[in-house]
Amino acid sequence: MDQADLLNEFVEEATEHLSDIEIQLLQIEAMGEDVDDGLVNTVFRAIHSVKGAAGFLGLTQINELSHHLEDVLGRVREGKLTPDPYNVDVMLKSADRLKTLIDDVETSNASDNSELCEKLKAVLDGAGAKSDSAAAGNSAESQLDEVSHRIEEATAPEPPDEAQGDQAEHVLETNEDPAPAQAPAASNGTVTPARSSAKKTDDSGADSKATRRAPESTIRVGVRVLDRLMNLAGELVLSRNQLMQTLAAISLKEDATRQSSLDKIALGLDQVTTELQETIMQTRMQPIGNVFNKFPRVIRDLSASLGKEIQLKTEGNEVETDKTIVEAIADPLTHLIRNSCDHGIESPDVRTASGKDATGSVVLKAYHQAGKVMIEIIDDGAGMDPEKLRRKAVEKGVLSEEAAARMSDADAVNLIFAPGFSTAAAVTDVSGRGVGMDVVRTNIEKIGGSVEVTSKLGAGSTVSITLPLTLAIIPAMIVEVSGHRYALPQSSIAELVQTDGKEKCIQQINHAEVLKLRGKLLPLVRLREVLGLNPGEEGDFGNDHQLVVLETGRCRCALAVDRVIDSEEIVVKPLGRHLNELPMLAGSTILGDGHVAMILDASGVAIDAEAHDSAASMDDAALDGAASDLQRLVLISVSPNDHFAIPMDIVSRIERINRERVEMIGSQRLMQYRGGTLPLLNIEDVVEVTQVDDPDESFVIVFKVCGHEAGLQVPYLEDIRDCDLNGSLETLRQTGVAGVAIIGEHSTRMLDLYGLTEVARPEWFESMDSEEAQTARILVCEDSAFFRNFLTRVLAEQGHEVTACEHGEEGWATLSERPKDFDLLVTDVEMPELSGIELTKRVRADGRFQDLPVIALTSLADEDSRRVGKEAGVNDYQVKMNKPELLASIDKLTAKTTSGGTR
Amino acid sequence: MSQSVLVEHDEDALAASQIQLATFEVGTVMMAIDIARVQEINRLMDVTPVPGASPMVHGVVNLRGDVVTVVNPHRILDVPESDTSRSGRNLILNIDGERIGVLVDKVADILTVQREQLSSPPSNVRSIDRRFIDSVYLQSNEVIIVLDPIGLLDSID
Repeated sequence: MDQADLLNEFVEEATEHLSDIEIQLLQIEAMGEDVDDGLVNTVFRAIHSVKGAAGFLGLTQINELSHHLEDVLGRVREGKLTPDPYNVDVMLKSADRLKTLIDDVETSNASDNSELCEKLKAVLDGAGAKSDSAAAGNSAESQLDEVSHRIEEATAPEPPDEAQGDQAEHVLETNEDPAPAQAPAASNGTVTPARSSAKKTDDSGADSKATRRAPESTIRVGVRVLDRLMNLAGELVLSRNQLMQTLAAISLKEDATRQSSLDKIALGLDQVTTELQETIMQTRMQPIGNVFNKFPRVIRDLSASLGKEIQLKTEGNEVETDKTIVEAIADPLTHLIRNSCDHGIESPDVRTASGKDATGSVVLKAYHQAGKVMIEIIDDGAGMDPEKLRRKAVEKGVLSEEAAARMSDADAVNLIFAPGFSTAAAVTDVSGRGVGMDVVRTNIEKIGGSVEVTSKLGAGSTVSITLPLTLAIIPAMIVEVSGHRYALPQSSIAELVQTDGKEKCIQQINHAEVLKLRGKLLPLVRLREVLGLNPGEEGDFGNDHQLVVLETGRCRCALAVDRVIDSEEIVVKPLGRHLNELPMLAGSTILGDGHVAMILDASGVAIDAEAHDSAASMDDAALDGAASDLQRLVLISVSPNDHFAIPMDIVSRIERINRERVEMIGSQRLMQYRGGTLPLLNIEDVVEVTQVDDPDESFVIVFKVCGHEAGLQVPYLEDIRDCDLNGSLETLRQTGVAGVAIIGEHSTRMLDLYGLTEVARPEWFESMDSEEAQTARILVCEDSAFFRNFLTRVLAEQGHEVTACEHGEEGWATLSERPKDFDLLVTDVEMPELSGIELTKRVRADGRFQDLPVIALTSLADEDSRRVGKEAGVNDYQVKMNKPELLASIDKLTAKTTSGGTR
Repeated sequence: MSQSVLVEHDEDALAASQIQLATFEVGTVMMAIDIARVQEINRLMDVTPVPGASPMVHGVVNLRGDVVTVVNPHRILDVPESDTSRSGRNLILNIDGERIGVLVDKVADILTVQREQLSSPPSNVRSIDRRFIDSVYLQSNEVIIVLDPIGLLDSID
């Protein structure tokens, strides 16, 4: 099977190599002494690759013939052989024979090509003498000689298998020769067409032969032609629809016979059109085996490096799916297979101890099911322990303890797809730290697929991937806004919601609209505003909105539209080059009535909403409660209605004080603190609150800003605990507030202590402002959308030019694409795909970025991680929310590089 | 052989000396494009606006199953737009295999002109960026601006 695949590949490649050789040889012939070296080289290389591959596959005859041909071409290349009609003819003949042999590659070894090889050898040997006679050989005599030679050749018996092969080809071959034979008599200019047309007939003969012997003949067709065909078929569908409608409208009841014959024609047209469209779709299909074929090697290498014995079995290589999907699934599959080998299959002694075969098995299986393509990766390894996963989820703060207890075993094993989850006891270089399984899921979802895992402890795991058959036709929801229709891919729609004003209602939280849905808050995005459209005639809809809840990867938001029209299967049409970079659009489609509708990209819309609308914005809201950034928060409140949170890592100390300890100097409050005075701030000085309680005892949260120590005085300290902010945090534009989240039962505002201090004590920031004249181009890598937005906002406010990336790989890609565009890299440490440390190492390893300053961000800057970071080449460590320190560090580092003149 | 080459040369020379221009109006300005670039001329079709696109892009249309970008030369050339919905046309150009529509107010004529009659744009051509101008042609006291379609499209941001 594998050999056959290799053979097929060889045939395809060799055919491609040989496809132009005829014309090229003829050009070489026409050039004679002034032969173009480049052209000869091209031909030489083509034959050389055929020779090499044939030798590798044990195709002795093809190998030998191409070997001789290569020698002759080499001589031409060296200028020792002048191409002339005679030797070029031998070359052409050899090329033709090669084509014939390759078309019937399986029996090629049984053929006899010694005669041709002899001729090539003769050309080679007689290189000097022959070329002389050929140079003089425009005389009629030598041509006559040649003609007779050719005729002799044509009538010479064919190699045994071909002789018994088929008559038709034989005849064609005989036919072919007179043409070139007469050709030299005429001018050189006319040789080419005559000969090549003759060769063409020959080719078609060979083709028809191939059709009979090989399972299926193929031709290469440009994707563009196929797309065009697809478009035309789509148009035909539209025309058919219009025809059907018109026919239905025209009443021909009086003339029943005419009516029925028209109906028959329409029905026929209908069926043909449908079939045409399906057939054209098929042309985009590729066997999944194209991807599967690379895994034996992967497994072989992995087994060696892991010291395990693993056997790979693939099934369903012939299952076909859209070319784009086949290409997109390669990386996720590789990751999953590596994972199975690394985490799934046990080492041989463990396997033997548990009564298993020492050799583990991984089965890669593809099949069709219900109009979808299913891929399964089945290993007979250790399986996963749902209990262990539950514990780990709780440890990592992905789940609360009760939620974990409620979770079924089947759901528990799927926790591996949560960001930052690893199941290996030890970190290995094979599948890293489990980083990436979430990315695998994201990538599969990107192409409209889904993935899940089932596992039996001790018996193995099965990862099942469901993929759509095609990306060219996708199910979509058609919505209307201000009279325009747009298509939203179903894969990004979680649900449709009709607000009822009670459980499902739109609320305002500090100028930001949110949808309250089953106790959760979703940012509300008005599509009309995002798209910059004028309100339609319908005007205000009040609370009676139809909302589409979008969910893509890690974003979730509610989209307000005027009307949801229908769900439809749409054909995706690419947009022109002036429009294909627009982030909000995923393409376009032509609706049933011929109008073009834009396909919206859900995440693009969400991101745009963020930029457009300062109040409402989108954030990470992985529904499953998956967390990548766990924050230790100090939860405080000023009244039962006003809850706030502060990240613990910027708090230096918390003091409990009596009311009496607060002193007033002028309008400023302060207290005695460690032999000095501590200026005190209150949340209500800056942030709007409903009321402020004033109990006898209050709390002072001590923090440092711009070299000053300050205390935030709050009435109640509720709790200090780890919270997952990715689940529910919304950005909120309010001075002193970084965002709002539901923590416990309460809507809690996350304080931006530095922003707050800036308002309360502007004089502390003055010294900093003066230095801020300098702006830098900064690349920010941060996987948490909340911090990414926060950093982007904070840095942009300082006049820096910020480019934000979601993880290290993206950051690296951006950096390498535009190496000169950045003065500074600010990166989170813990990120999926590529951690900040790894990213820094990569940056340092690349000569272009050796002087690029790198600031690593962390929520917990302990000594160990600092050391690791320094070793990797990090210039500075900063705490995420520590705005002034971060800004100061940025100024320092960018000033250094500019004055250093390195860029 | 040498003969055929000669004939070809002659034809080339002949073709090279002449050029056919499709002329049209954009606002009050008379313009032209090498007809070899023009694939077809259509009535204004139902145009779908593209959110987020450059204002120079008028929208997209369905051209027999292909979604084709239509640019608005008024915006590119900074010429006031006029209400010419009846005489307005969509000039479909074929540029490097991509079809692009250009919204014009009126299609005028097809001119065959000698290349030598085309002159480089005078330095005082105003209100139009020189990047899009291939050359200028004078016809009975009227200036026709010959557009460079590639320059025109490259200026879209």
